[in-house]
Amino acid sequence: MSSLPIVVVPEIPADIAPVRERLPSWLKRNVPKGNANHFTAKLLDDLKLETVCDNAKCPNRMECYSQKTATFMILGNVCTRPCGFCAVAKGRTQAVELDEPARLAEAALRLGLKHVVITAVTRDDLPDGGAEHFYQCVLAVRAKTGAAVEVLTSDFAGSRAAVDRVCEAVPEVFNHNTETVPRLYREVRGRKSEYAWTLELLARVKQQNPAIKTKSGLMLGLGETREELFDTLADLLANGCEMLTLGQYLQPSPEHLPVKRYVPPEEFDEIGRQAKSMGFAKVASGPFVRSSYHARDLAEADPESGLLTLSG
Amino acid sequence: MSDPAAPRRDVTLPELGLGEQQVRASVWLVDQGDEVSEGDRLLEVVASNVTIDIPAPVSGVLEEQLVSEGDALVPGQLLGFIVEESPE
Repeated sequence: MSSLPIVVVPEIPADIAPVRERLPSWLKRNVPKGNANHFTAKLLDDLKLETVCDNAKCPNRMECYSQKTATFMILGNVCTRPCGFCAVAKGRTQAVELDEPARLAEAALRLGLKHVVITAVTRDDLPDGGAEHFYQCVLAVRAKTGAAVEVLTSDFAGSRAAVDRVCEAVPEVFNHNTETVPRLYREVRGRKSEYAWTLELLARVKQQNPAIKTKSGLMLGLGETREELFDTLADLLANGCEMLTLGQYLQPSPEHLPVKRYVPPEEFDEIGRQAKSMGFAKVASGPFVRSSYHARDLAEADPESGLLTLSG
Repeated sequence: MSDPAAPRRDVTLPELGLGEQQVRASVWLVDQGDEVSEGDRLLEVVASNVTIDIPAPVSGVLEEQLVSEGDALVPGQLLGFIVEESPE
């Protein structure tokens, strides 16, 4: 005889509307196997670390946590920019935790990471946008683990000095996302974001240290045209961007920007191949691709092929 | 009719690794009374931007659906029952 387990069914939060339009079949994920998921979550909890996987409601969280990897999010879990696509909380920011670099390095060590991705909430309230903290985190992780480090930074509100400071840590990869085409920039990224500065930031990284690989990503399905997309990719290439990620935008809640179009996997493949032929050294393209999805695979991909088509 | 002596197996919501995200039942992919094989997709559930199909844990007949479209779900929650296939 089956016994009925006692479970507490949560009340419906106001921000969760009734079941929305079903997603296309290619956007389904599998139930994760094994317990590595719990291991990763508990370790992050024990060390009081934030991940963008959790805070941005990333659809790949279960897969990445199961593989004992995560993208660390430093400088708190509250952002100063109200980007229309992003689920990270906005509002009053927290004090910078000076021991965060050491805790982050400890987590990277315990997870056995060989490629560590560090991102942050945008901190327009800090004089340097958090650049010094990024610097300290890169150094701490490298000293403790010897791992390659990839940073995924904000635009530092146009501060060249902030970009330069992060470059002084010599991360193996410097990622700054374009997110969308210039026509949609203000709507998607908010009024403080400038397309021209995104390009300049990437170019500046290469000027500061040509050994640092530059990377950027766009979400597809926000209303961009194909021509706009390829014009943007050409701009990125002209500014020295070497690595590219292309993924499907997914609406985190009904309050966020709606999805204009679900791009089929085969179209992601085709766009990825075309981007590679345009001159990007490495391209990851697929519905579930995010900035740091399979980041190590992309960073270590054979430059001859340099194309990851990840259909989930 | 299912064999009353056949074992009845719980179908529960597994841990999906979604952290604090709210999960809801979206649509049953199998009707009550339908035969299913182990691994068949039974119920589609959705979180904020993830859709996952919950598979049948065993082969048999889906005897009862205990959640409806739109219901909020938590890991471990009972979703339905499968009456397992009787051994030959």
